[in-house]
Amino acid sequence: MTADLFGIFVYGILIFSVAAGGLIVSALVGKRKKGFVKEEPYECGVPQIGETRTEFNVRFFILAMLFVLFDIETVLLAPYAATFIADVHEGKGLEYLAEVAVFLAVLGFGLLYAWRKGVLDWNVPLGHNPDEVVSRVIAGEADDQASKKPVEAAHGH
Amino acid sequence: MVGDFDIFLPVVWLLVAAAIVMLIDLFGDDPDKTRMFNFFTALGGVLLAFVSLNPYWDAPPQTIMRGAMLVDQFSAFLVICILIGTAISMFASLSYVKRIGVNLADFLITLLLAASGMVLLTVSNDLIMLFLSIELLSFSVYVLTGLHGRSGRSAEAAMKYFIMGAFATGIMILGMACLYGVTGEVQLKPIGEKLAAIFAARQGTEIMATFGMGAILIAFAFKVGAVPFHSWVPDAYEGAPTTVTGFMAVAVKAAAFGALIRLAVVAFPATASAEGFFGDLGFAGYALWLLSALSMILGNWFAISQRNVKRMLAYSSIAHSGYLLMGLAAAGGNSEVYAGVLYYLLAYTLMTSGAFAMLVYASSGGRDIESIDDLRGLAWKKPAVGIGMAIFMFSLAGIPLTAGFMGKYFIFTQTIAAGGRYLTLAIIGICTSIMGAYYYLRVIAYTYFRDPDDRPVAGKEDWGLKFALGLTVLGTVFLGIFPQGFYDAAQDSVKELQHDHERPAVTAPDKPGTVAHD
Repeated sequence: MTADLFGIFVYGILIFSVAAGGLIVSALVGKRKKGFVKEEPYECGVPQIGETRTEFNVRFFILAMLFVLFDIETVLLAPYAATFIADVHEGKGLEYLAEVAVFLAVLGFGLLYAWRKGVLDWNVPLGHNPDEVVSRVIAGEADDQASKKPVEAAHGH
Repeated sequence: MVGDFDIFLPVVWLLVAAAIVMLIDLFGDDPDKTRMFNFFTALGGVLLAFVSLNPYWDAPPQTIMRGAMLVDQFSAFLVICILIGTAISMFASLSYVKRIGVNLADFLITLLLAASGMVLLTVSNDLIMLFLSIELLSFSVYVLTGLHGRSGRSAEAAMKYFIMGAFATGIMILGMACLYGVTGEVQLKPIGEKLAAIFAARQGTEIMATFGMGAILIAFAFKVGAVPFHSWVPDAYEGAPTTVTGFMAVAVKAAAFGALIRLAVVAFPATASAEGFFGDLGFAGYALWLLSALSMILGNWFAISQRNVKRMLAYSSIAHSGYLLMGLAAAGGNSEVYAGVLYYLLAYTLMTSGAFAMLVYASSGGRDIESIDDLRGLAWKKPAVGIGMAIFMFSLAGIPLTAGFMGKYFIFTQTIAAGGRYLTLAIIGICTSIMGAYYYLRVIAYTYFRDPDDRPVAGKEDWGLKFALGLTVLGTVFLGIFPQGFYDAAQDSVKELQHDHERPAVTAPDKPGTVAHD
């Protein structure tokens, strides 16, 4: 028991000494040149622009949720088909098709909800009926809507 | 009918109602016109779910969905509690959600989904089903908490509840992974058998099993808001719309306690020790004891200093979790005690959702009840508020002739009968309920014995709210005066719990080749 753990102990010491050794040696031997580039968090990469904490339009998150919806669908359907193929050969195909149809219907409801709430249409403000907005655009009242939109987007609506 | 489709009808009705309301909301023209239709559709879903429970009542337990769900009278009793809580919340919200500017359809859809998650939780018979139904109910309740999106407090409450709840869920899935790791089973009954063997053999894996059971216990303690996992309760209860708070307080608790009792009886074995449930596992046995004692003491203690009525009721709900956990701790495999817990859940459902509905009623007419000062002398301006509030507060405090008293009576007598360290627990419980009487009776004192202020009280009260209040007041009093029938039903419900659960459904035997759990 102790003999087994001794190897791990030596391994730990080695890891530590290699990691710390590199830092210590470079601190003792290396030269130091301070400069603007050296002070950046990412020394070698794309130059930073703006703040790190910015607001994103909440639509990105909702679209991400929709992505998960279909992701889960694929993740479930493939193993479902693979697992029940034997039963399908026994002539139970219709039963299993009906079961998976229920699952797809539930997912479809999610998509339907997102669609009618205007998630899929990038130009319709969230929480508005897409039909209303479209009819308003056709009637030529789109201007105030368009000017309002960036503000709403910035506040995450 | 039931066995043919291999499905659990109450859940189906709730989901169908939710789907119809959703379709009407999405494709209907005017939300104001479809409002009542949506309401009655949702109510119809709840009523149909209630009616479709009939075949499961007084029937032997049956497993459905290849053993993933187990339907028995125990789950039927809990589903009744949940449906009552849901229906009362719906009635109370009829005009309330409009007042706070929430679309009624959104509220109803989320409420029905939450209720279906709860119903599924009470029939869950394997770890996966348990986890999924807890997630369904949790997500819906997070959304319900934050439904009042324009109020900063509501959003804050939802965020806090969501983050803490996600942690609790993570801990629960960790515990389930541990249990699966040591037993290799997902269904509760085989887990219970294997765990019993593991604890009898004591070859080191019982440590991991204890850890898994402890982690699951922690997650459930979070869901029912037991100290020290209660920190989300006051904020979430205060921030959520009042009718949602009532729903959270009663239905979530009924579902979570139901699942916890089933886990305790079926999966967590009564091992060789005479003490039964968790008994041999000194750690977990004391954990329940400690959770209960801390919830009773701290819940009541913090409630005393609250001026905000909703926060006070939140702490009171923590204290009530403590009383219910006391029943669980003292049960020790004795199903009588679980009957007491079930009865208390039913009583608690009626009185607490009633108390929250009363807050909505009292704040109609543009006078929001926040602080207890807002209730000053209200009994003289709105006599119904005075009488109703008094009944609910008497019941919560546990004063005779109310449901709360009988619930406490059943739990306390059985805990005292369990003796030993549970006697200490019962004494703590009695002392803390006396503490609790102070802040409950203070509400009555404010409504009756303080001079009213001159703010307006008149307002249009809708029939839904009145119906919800009438139902809860009558129920609270009726359960207090004629407890026997309900207690007998609760006893019948728990009787089957400890029997063999492996009886397959009468008309739907497990299909060969599709048993996936091994």
